[in-house]
Amino acid sequence: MKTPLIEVKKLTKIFGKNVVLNDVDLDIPQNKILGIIGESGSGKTTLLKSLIGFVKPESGTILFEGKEINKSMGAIRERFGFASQDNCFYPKLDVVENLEFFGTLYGLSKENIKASISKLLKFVELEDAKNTLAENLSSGMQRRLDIACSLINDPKVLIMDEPTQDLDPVLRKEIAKLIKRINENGTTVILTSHLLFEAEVLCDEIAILHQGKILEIGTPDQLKAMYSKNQEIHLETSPGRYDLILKGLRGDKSISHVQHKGHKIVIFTPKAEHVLKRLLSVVIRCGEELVDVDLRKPSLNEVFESLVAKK
Amino acid sequence: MRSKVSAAVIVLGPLVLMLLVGSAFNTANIYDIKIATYSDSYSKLSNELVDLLSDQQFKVNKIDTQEICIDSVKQAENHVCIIFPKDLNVNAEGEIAFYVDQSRINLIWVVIDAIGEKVSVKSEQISQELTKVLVDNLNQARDVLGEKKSVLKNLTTDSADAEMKLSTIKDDLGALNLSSNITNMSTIEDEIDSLKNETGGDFEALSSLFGTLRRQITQTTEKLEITSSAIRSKTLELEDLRTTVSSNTIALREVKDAVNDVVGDINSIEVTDVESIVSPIKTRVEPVSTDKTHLSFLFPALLVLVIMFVSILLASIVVIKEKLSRAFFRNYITPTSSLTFIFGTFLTNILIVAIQLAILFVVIGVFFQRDVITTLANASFLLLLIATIFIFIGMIIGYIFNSEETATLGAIAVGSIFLIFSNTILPIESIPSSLRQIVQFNPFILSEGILKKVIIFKVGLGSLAADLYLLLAYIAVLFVLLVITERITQKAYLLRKFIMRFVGLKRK
Repeated sequence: MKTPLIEVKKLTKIFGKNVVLNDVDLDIPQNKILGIIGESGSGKTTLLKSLIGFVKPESGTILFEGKEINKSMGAIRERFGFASQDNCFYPKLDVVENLEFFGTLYGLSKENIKASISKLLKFVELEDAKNTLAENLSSGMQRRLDIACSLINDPKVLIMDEPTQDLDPVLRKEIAKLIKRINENGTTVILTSHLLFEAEVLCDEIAILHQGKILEIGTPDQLKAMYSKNQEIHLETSPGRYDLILKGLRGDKSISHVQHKGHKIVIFTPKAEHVLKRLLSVVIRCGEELVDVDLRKPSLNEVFESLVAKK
Repeated sequence: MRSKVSAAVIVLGPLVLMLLVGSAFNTANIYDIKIATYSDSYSKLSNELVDLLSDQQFKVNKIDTQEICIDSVKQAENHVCIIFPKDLNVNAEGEIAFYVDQSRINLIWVVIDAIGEKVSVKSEQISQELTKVLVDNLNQARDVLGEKKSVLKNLTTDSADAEMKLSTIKDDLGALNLSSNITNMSTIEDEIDSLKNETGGDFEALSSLFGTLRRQITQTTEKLEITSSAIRSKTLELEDLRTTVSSNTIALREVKDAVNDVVGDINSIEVTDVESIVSPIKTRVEPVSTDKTHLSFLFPALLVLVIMFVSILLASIVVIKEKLSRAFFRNYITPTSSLTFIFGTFLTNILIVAIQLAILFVVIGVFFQRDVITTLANASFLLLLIATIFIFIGMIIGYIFNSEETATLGAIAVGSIFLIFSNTILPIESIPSSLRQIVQFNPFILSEGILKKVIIFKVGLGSLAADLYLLLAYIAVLFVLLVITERITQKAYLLRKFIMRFVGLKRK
């Protein structure tokens, strides 16, 4: 088995009376995107900040390439990039100045900084805005600049704390693509998110953190396979008399549960084919016009809810 | 107000400030005034004045040379240098010179008044003694002349009597009739011859002639007797007069002697010059610097004031701004040493302060026609050190506080304390000596003092080794404190911010 890039062993961190991380064990593989998902306050950011040595744990160790990070902080910081929830740059400096400044802080030579900036501007698509003050950039561009700042030292590991937080769906997609490209360039990405569908699409592996404990870790498919047998039927009809439709399906033991989602209903069932047939006949019988029907595999959200509910 | 430190600064700050100011300045006295004295030759009066000044309020040191004495004022080792004229005495024309540092505007007149009060007590005492000598002499002259007044009165009476008597004698003697009817003897002889010739011996006519002649002689004899008697009488009177005049002469000699004694006493008065009697000790005040305007005297304090407030406020705000900036966390997690950030912040501040000082010097030079180039050349090194001290203090304040408001308040409070406990508002000599032992190390006082020496008294940096070492020691200590504060507070700040966020999320 391949040696993990980062090994978190029995990590415990306490803030006052709050046990934020409780005996956390986590192996982070190289060149992958690891997503840490969990509710707000579950300890995601604390875990990330422990990885860069900012938070000193009460007990436990973190090994990077087999070396304890707290004993080689200088080297660790040179090889890690960190993009936090907030944009960490100077708003009164322009894009290039910000990158130059942080490049200098990483001890890069002028030539290296110049080369890195050129590469990064292209990479994060900020070439046209390179002389714009950071405060004048759009939200998406600011996020990209922040990520570029995190990449200025060409890190082996990029840690991203809620990288798409507060962004609109279009920008989220844009950033997600960027993260994928960063990873494709050989950088291991560790990110946190509370947007499970996003993590599901983006991450190679997902660790579910709840109340300071890692509940499960695996690929999205592995997790879904382990924790959900259901499939989802998303149905939209007009005029949308869903009570009537559900009345027609009453008594069908193969339906696990139903959720109303805006103009749609979602029916969870392990026997999707059977339920779908019945559902279409009921819709016709009720005189409803079918607008949209979609059969989906179980979402990570369901896995997460399932896991959290068990605890 | 959720921050305990902020609350403490806002609520306790003014109270502590008032307590400090109250306990320090609640007095009308000035303490430990150091006086240097010099004289080519100390007279009794000089020594008496030195003794008079040596009390709890004043510390008097006799200095070996006039130059050292005056220099000690320039070096702020003494407040006043008193130069006594050689062999000072009341009759001497010399003045006691007070050499003072007029840049200590708010102190020097108080000191001069205090010393002047003591000197004037002595002066008044001497004036009284001199006046007493005069009054005693006058009293003595009055008594002596009073005594001799009756003698003179008698002499006047006697003289008047003698004058009258002499007038009478003169009249009496004038009235004596010594005329006689005796015919001229030649005429008689001629008549006898004629008779002989005419009569040829007719003796009757001759006898008649002789009879006439006899009568006339008898009458003359009688008159002579009367005259003789009168002369005898007047001789007696004149004898009396001689006796009187003789005794009067003795009396006059006595009067003369008495008058001579009085004149002798008056002549023996040593001090007769009215000015010397009225103000026997003359003083003058001499500034130790050639500068004359208040601006010149205030210039070093003004410079330090600008440097102090600009540096403390600017440095604290720069640190706070950096701390509150979003880039702070990224800076923190880079491999760059915290010392680099400290030096970066310091350089930013020192550059801004240098620009402000340059503007200040240009304004002073252009609008007030002061020779700022020479001053700047000599003082620039010191200004750098002074700005460094205050920038370090400002940075420490910035690291301690977590908000711009409290940091600004803290910076202003610290600056105000430095200002209040300097010589700018009230002289530190008005602070009790126990407290002054601490206050004298106020960086504002140190900075102002050393700048004053360089700018006003044109003292070379070589002569300021002790002051420079003190400033450098300050910088070293503050730098260590700065690094420690930075190490303790920066991570604590980030962690606290993170924990607060975490706790907030948990509550949700």
